[in-house]
Order: sequence, then C-alpha cells, then structure tokens
Amino acid sequence: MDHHQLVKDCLKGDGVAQKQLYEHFAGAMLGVCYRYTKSMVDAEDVLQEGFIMVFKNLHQFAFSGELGGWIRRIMVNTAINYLKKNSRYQTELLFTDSVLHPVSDEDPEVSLNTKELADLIRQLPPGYQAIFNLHAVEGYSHVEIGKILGIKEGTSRSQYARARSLLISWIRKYTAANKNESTYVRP
Amino acid sequence: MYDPKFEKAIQQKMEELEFRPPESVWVNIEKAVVVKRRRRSAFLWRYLLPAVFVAAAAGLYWRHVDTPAKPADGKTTHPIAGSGVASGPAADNSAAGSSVVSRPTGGADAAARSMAQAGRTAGGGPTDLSVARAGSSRSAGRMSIAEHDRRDRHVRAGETSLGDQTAALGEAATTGRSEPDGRVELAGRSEPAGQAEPAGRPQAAGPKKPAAWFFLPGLADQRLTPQVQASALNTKKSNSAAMAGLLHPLRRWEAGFVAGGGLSRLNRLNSEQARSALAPSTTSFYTISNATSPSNHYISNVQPEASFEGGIYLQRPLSDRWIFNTGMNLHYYSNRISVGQQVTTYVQSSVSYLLATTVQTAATAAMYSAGDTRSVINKYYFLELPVGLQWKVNKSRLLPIFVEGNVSLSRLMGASALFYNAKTGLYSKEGDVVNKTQVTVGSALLVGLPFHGVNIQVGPQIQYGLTPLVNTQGVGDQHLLYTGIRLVIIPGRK
Repeated sequence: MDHHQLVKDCLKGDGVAQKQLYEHFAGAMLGVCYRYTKSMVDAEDVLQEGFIMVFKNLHQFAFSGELGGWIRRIMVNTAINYLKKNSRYQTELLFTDSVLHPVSDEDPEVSLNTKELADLIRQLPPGYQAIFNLHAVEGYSHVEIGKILGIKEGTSRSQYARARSLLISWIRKYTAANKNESTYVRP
Repeated sequence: MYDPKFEKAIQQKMEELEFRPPESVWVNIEKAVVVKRRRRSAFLWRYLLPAVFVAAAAGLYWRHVDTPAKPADGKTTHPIAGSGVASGPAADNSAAGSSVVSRPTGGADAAARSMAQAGRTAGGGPTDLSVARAGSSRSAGRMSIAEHDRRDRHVRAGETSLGDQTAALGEAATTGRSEPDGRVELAGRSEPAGQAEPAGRPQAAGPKKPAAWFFLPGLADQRLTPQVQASALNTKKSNSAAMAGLLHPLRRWEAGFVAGGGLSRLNRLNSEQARSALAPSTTSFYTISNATSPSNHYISNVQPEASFEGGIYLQRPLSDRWIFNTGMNLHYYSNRISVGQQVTTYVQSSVSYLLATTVQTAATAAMYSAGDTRSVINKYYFLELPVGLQWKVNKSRLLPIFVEGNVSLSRLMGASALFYNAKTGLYSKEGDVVNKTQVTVGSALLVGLPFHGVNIQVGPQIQYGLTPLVNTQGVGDQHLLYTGIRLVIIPGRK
C-alpha cells in the first residue's frame, strides 16, 4: 500500500481513503493505546481521539518519514495527555519515591505471549506503566520522557528501574505459575 | 546498566500486539472528521454565496437599466404620441423623405410632422412607420390617462362623421398651433410636386411638446391612398394597446438591498425540565468534575444581544396593493448566557468510562458548569431565504405604509455557542445539538420614503423561529426571537 498516496487522497477529503488509512493502522494503534491504559474502553477512547488528531493534522505529515511511526507518535502523545487529564489516572500518576520495589539483577527470558505480557505491563501503577512503555517499547530517552511527563530525568530513571524489576518479578511468578499449572496432573 | 535483551524482547512482543477496534470508533471518527469538513465548506458558503447573489442581483439590475423599455405588447406604441416627441433618425427622415408641405411653426410643427410621417409611410411602406414609432415609444408612457381618453374620443368622432373634420381642425387650432388659416396639408394627398417644400428643410427648433391628437379617418377614407388607410388601421390597434398598458401597468421585478439591526433573544431554558433531566447524572458529574454542590445548581439566564442582517431583496407588485417579495439574507443572531467555572477535568471521557454506551468525541472543547460567574455570547450565522407579501395600507405616493408578513427558510452557516447538556450538566460547544435548518415567521411595518427615484422602506420588524434552536430533549424548547429595524433600498429605474 502506498501510504503517501493514501495521505494525499485523505487530504483531498476522500472518505474512502480515510477509512482505508484507519483500517490499516487501527489494529496496531489500539495495541499501543491498550498498553497505556487500564481498560479497553479507555484504549478505544484514546484511539478515537488519536485518529481525529491524525486526520486533523494530516497536512503536517512530512512525506519523508514513515506514516506508521508518525501516527504512532500521535497515539502515544494522545495517550499521555489522556492520562494527565483523566482524574482516575491523575491520582496514581504521582511520581514519588515513596514506594520501593525490589530490583532484580537477572533478566528472565520472556516466554509469555504478547497479550499476557501486555496485561502484565498494564498491571503496573500508571506512573510506572507510562515510563516503562515510553522507554522500553517506544525507545524514548529519559531526558525526553522527563520533558513529556514534566518530571526530572533522574526520576524517570529510577521509576523505570523499579517498573522493570517489578515487571520481571511478575513475569517470573507468572511463568512459574504457568509451569506448575502445566505439570499438574489431574487425579 | 541493564541488559538490553529484555527491552528488545519486550519491544518485539509489543510490536505484535494488535486488536480489532469496534465499528463505533470509526463511526465517531468519521462523524468528527465530516463535521470539520462541513465547517470548512460552510465557511465558503457563508461568504461566497451571498457575494455571488449580490453580484448577480446587481448585474441584473444594471442590465435592466441599460435596456430601453419596451412596450407592453412588444409591437408599437401610439403613433401620434411618438410623433409629438419625434427625435433622432425617424423625425429627420420624415422631413427629408416626405413630399408634403410642412410648416412647422410654433405648436403646429408636431402635427405637421405627424402628417409628414404618414406621407413617408405612404411612400416607404409601413415598416418605416413602425421604426419611427418604436423610436418614440418611451413618450407613450408619459401621457396621462385623461389625455388618452380625450384622444380616443376624437378617434371615435372622426370615424363617425366627415363633418367632424372641421371640428377636429378647430380643436387643433385651439391647442396652440399657429397655423393662421387652420389649413393642414395631409400626407399622401395629390399635391403638385412643385409645391412641396424642399427636402431637408430644417425643422423649427423649439420645445418638443406632446402632440395633440390629430387624425382624420373620414378624410382618409375618401382621399388617402390604401397604404395610408392601412397605417390608420394600425394606428387604431396601437391606440388600444397603449390604453391597455396605461390601465394595466406592467409590473416588473425590482431588485434592491435589505439591511437591518436589532436585538435577538432566546427564551429561557425550562428550568424544571432541566433540573429533572439533570437529576440522574448529578452524582457522576459532581464526582468527576469536583464542581459545586448540586444544591447550588441552577439554570443560567439568557439575555438578548445584538443582531443584524443584510442581503439582497427582490419584489414584484401583484396589484396596486399587494407586493410579493423574496431574497436572500445573511442574519447574525447572538445572545448572552451566564455560565459557571470552566471544568478542566476530562469529563466526557470519564462519562464514557462510567457509562460504557456513551462515547463522546470533542475531548478538547471547553466546558463550563452552570452558574453566573462569567457571561458568554452565543453567536449564530443563518442564511435566510424569505418569502413575503406586502400590503399597501394607504394610497399615498409620498408616504406609503406597508404591512408585511413573511416566512423564511434558513440554514445555519456557523455558530460559536455554548449549549447546555442535560446528561453532563455542563455547557459545552456541541455543534450537533443545533437544528441547522430553521423555519421562521416574521412581520414588519414599513414606511416608504421615495428619495430621488430611490424607493426606501424603513420600519420595525419582528421575527420568530418556529423550529427549536436545539434538538436536545429535556431542557425545553428554545426559539430565536429577533426584533429590530429593517431598511429596504430599491434603486429606481433610469
């Protein structure tokens, strides 16, 4: 699919092209939104707002880059704004150092499937969840994350370390539980 | 430092994460995008369409002005009236080509020219006469009905008796013509060629007066050539046409401009209905927005604000008393409402979270709680297509009074307004709640002020929207009411 041509058609107001663009990216983008939110309904809200922003700002798309990456950045920004605005997330998005979690030195092999891993990430507190997604998945530096979330770079680093160790411990527990369940022989 | 293998594994796994979104998401996106597109096109309609119509009206008007007025039946007009003010090529030709004696001295020159014209017709055929008549058709309209009646009487008298010829001549003499012996040499008569005035003799200069009725059909029966008799027959027919035109004047479309200014208001929300509609959602709303307590909640006041209109105006008289009018206006309405504090929390998304079936779109729009801490002016732009009837109360030409009733179909071109949402208990900009097509009725009392050929009508006007402005249930119907002064300007014909 020629994404650039699709964008040009969308800019002309072609409804069919707009739907094509949506259908091509909606699935993956809903996955992005899913990782940042706590429920599928919230994820769908973010997806909807994100795509409205995409169509609203499509004229700003530089045809030199990749369309998927551009849309993904918009989705991430929309999700972060959603977390900031939503009162449910606001209370838990406080980046304090009060809660400490054990840090593990050994990284486990990630044997969980995609959905299971995503669900574990979503179990993280909202602050951890956002920083982990931004750094581990999206590849933002801690400086960038600090600017995006309005926190210090050091805070981002420490929060990420705690999120990472917490997730690793959960992955271990989850993997162990699954192994036990698989070796369990019914009487 | 961490082992990047873990991050890479996570990244790889998360790249594969995909879900199939429900159809409702695309429906809402499409709705929002289409609304945006419509707003852009509405922007064009708001400015482009009225400009096109104004330009078209102006073009039509100037085209009418430049085109000479044609007679009612599209053929000829009164020949004598035409000869009375004969000017230009027709009059000159009559002098140059005729072989009759013409003594255009004083007031008799008009009658003499009339006869000369008849003589030219005899020589050159009826076509020439029609040209001459067409050239002087404008003067027909200037004759009074009384004058026509008088002339018509003469025609009938002339048809009945030859003896009346003397009387007609006598009357011609008494109308100021300075023919000393009352002798008039008629065209087509067998005058010796030598007695004819030399061709090209200059016509007597002097003020051109409407010619008196001067026609002698009895004489024509006896002595005039068949061509002249035919011309006389045509004359009688055109007399009737001219009379009909005067008794039943041609009623044309007239174009002009309309403008007005005043106050528009929106009737107050039905507070009882609004309260009851608000009741089920108060818990969620106040929990989410942390706004003031529900007991302090009340519905805001709506106050009138400035309103004005402008556009093109077309009218056509149906009779002496009734005038049909239509046109196209761009009407700006506004009203002032009081609202409370701005709600900064993400209320609509929260509502959609709490009530899974409610999915709202405009997340970034400003919302306000009910209250009176600030006032906001709601603005609406409507393109109106009015159709009305005017009744002329009196017959005064100096100060005519008109009563008008009209119905108008209008379309919302744009709005910047806060609307009360009974579900959330908030004021927000929701374009979908407005009934974009409105039917309004109006009435006006206008006074005509003729001013240098420009017809001006001015007077008070009232207009009421039959269609409710918003289509939300539970907060009562709200209708636009406009009161103001209207000014209609119809430039006169040159």
